[in-house]
Amino acid sequence: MTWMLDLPQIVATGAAVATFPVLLVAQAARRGRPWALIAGAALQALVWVAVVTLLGPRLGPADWLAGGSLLVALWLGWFQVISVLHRGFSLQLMVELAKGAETRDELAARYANGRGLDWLLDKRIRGLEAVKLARRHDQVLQITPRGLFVARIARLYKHLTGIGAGG
Amino acid sequence: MVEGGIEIALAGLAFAIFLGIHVPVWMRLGAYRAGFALMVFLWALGLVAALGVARWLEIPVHVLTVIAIDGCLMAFYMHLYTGMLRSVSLRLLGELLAHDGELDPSQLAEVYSPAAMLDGRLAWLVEQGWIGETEGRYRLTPSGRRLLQRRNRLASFFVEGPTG
Repeated sequence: MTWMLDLPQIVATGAAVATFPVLLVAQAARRGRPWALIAGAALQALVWVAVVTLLGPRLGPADWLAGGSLLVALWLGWFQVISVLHRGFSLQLMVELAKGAETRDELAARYANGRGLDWLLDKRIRGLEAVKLARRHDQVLQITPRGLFVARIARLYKHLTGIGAGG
Repeated sequence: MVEGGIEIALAGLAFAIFLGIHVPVWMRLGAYRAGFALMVFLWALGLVAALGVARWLEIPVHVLTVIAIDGCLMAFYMHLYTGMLRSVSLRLLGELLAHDGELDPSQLAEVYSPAAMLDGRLAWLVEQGWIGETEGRYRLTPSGRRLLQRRNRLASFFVEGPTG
């Protein structure tokens, strides 16, 4: 038998899934706070360690690795969902269609409760400024050295995978 | 070898098999066609192949550990995939890089205007079958309505403030 599936592995991975609601509840309780996601993930990690430590079977490195990897995979998946809910351009367009916008001009004007598409672009630029990837000087948008580094990596990735300009 | 090392190596092999197939397929079909279902299928294929190698070589492995590490790698990759493909912020950085690091408002409107962003997304939503278009008027399709209902349910629990 070369494929091993034993109790400590099942406990480590099962507890990672079973404690996921800790993150959901923590985030729902503090929605709107930017740190809620990270705090919820940290809380889940603590609960997970407590559960697998108290549950009984002594975990080996491979078991901790299994549970820890699954935790991180779940967080990444959830972060993606939250990111789409908060910032999803396409989903927001569908929200506006459901509210009654029909033409592209109406969509552009009514986007995000009437903030408009210029707000979207401005929000992204402010985001780039906040993490110091770009700055505005006399209305001119300029890339920073850090932004240059990220942009070059993104360009290489897009070139290697044929992804096009993206966005 | 350190305990867990063989599992890490096998997960790396499974992920390499996935990448080795997914990237060429993606480049051939286009990013939007090489979507989620194909990703999951190829991920499972890589996993089965890597675990098959372990069985063939009679190497004892913790199966769940390999699956979890490979799942984690896949989750990272999907973040990267969607980020590179869809991120407006990265697109802006790309345009800055292509224009000597500076764009004034008129240049920005020329290279990446909100109108162009809107057209691209509307075309993508039509292609996905979530919205339909007739003579310049857009409407949600039944599958689009179902998707939006799911979005709204989740948003009611986890989102506060403006979105978009």
